[in-house]
Amino acid sequence: MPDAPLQIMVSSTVYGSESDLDQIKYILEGYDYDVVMSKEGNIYVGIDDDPEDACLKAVEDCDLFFGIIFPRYGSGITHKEFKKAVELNKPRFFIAHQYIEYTRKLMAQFMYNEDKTRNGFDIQPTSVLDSIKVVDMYNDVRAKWVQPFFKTSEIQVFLETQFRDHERRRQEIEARNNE
Amino acid sequence: MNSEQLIKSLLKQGESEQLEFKQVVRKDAIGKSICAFLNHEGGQVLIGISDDNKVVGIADAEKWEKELTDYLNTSIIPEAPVMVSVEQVGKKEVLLIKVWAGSKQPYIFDGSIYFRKGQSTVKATSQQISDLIHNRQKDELHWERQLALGVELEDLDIHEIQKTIDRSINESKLDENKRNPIDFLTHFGLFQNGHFTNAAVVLFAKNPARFIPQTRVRVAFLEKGKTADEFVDDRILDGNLFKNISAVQDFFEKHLRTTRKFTEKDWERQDEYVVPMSALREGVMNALVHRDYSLSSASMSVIIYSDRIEVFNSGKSPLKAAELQKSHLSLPVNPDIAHMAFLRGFIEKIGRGTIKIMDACKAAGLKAPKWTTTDTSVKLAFPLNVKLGGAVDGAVDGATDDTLASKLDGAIDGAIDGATKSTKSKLSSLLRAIVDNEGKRIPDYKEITNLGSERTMERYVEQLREAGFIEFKGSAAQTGGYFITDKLKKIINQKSAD
Repeated sequence: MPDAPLQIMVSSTVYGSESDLDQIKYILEGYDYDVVMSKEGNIYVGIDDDPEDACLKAVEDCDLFFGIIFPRYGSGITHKEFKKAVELNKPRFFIAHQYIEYTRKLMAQFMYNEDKTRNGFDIQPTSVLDSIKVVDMYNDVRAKWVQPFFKTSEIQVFLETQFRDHERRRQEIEARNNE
Repeated sequence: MNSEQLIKSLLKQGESEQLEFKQVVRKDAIGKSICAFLNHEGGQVLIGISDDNKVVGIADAEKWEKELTDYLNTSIIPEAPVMVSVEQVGKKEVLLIKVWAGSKQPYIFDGSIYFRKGQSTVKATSQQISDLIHNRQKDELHWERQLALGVELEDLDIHEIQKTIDRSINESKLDENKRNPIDFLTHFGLFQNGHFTNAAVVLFAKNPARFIPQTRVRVAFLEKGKTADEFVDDRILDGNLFKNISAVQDFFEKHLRTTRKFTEKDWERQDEYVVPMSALREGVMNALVHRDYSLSSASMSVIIYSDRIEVFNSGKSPLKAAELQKSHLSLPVNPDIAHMAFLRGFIEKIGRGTIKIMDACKAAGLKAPKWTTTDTSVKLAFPLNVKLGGAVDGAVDGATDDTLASKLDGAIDGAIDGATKSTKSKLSSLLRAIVDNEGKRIPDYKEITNLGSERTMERYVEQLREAGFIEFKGSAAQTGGYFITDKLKKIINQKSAD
């Protein structure tokens, strides 16, 4: 019997064209993954469940976690999913829009107290960025590799490079689980 | 090339990587093929063809045309321009569906990515998906997809965007729920991460030249003066693509009109001009949509000379001049701009624009237009049968008017026997009214000409019809109208004896 496909969770704020995110889903399915899309926490929720819990449960259940950081923070559920993936040390991959690193450097002067702790600074929402918390989200995952991107097609190239070889990912995960 | 010739030529080519025949409408099978064509080099599906490549036709073709337009333009992800048309072969009707090669691969239909392999459509393998992703990288270098810095929403002509949305929804090319301008632009990739793209500026800015100076279009009318050629009307158009189209049209109206008109302007009414307006429109549209905008030195011009009209634009045509005269479905130079022009109804026959130009000129009895391409430019020249110019601006209409009147008189004289001079003169006036106002019915012409009772008019119309100058077109008496025939067009377009 062939192995069940790996389950990958794609977590991102809804941004830009919906069809960009749809393409990501179907490319991964084309590479034989079972895909759970969490666009702004948009995941199936049981009747008596809390939507946030359902999203975090999805993080627990997935084999691989893929986070996309657009210059958009949204409601904060995506940020919680990111934190959960880090907390559970899920095999994870992140890609961040180039504006995020730029904003991080530019805004650092306003964001921290003298003891380097985060103060309450935030910006007024604009058409290019709705909240500085996007930078916090980025900082929370930045300890590991985050690939920068500018165009949507660059996300696709990243997917292609990282996930094309389903079998190789499976072996890695099995080895990791056996450690 | 008419519909029948086109279909026969497709049948002769046979099924291939870019062509598929189907006997009946099966939406899912068509969706898969169109998706596969988008992921490859474009293509067409012909429906109403039996397994042994015979035209069997389909029933309810017009109903299917609308239904498939709606279905294919909204069920493929990301959305792509899909053109569906009913084509007539003898007494049978077939459906022709066309797409350009896609610019946002991979395309998805019904949850899967499809790929064209020879004559069959298959689900893409991992390797094929990877290839598509790398191909797309090249398309993303398109100038039109780069961000135009400093452009705010108030710099755009919201009315123009709204018109595009309304038209798309009315023609079943867009979902009802994309009515908001920003959502609409975002959906089609013209607004990204808080910025508008160059394509958005070309298409919808109030003043695009402020951000992209090379969007300007020069239009000029050259008179042959006593001592030298001189431009008597020389202007720069600096509106967006849609505004420029209507400005060029107005310019043609002003300088190319051979007869006076009673109705409001309309691109479709062609035969009153020295060159059919539909051919000119297509030529100008092609240039505006497919020109190279990327260099600041890029330009476009429309110049009326005394013996020709030239539409010039910067840009390397992907095709050689000879290939331009055939049907082609290669990826447009500016796919996003082309998509909007399609939604707006300016590109109705994907891959057939140049054929349309040739056909319209031929039907009007004109010499074939000529394309000249270089590595950096495309020039389309319409030779004129009638010499323009020689008179000062404003007198042109009158001069050509007289020419037309005398041609019509001559035609009546030659074809109607045994009529009095007065009747001939009335027939000539009526014919003139039909030339000026095609597509109307007898009561309308009675009103326009004031030549007599409706019964008298009926008699005159019948005489003109018998002479082969006019014909009735339309399925029912209430919806059709009278049009001039090719025979009369030839007479009108003949060079004057002088």
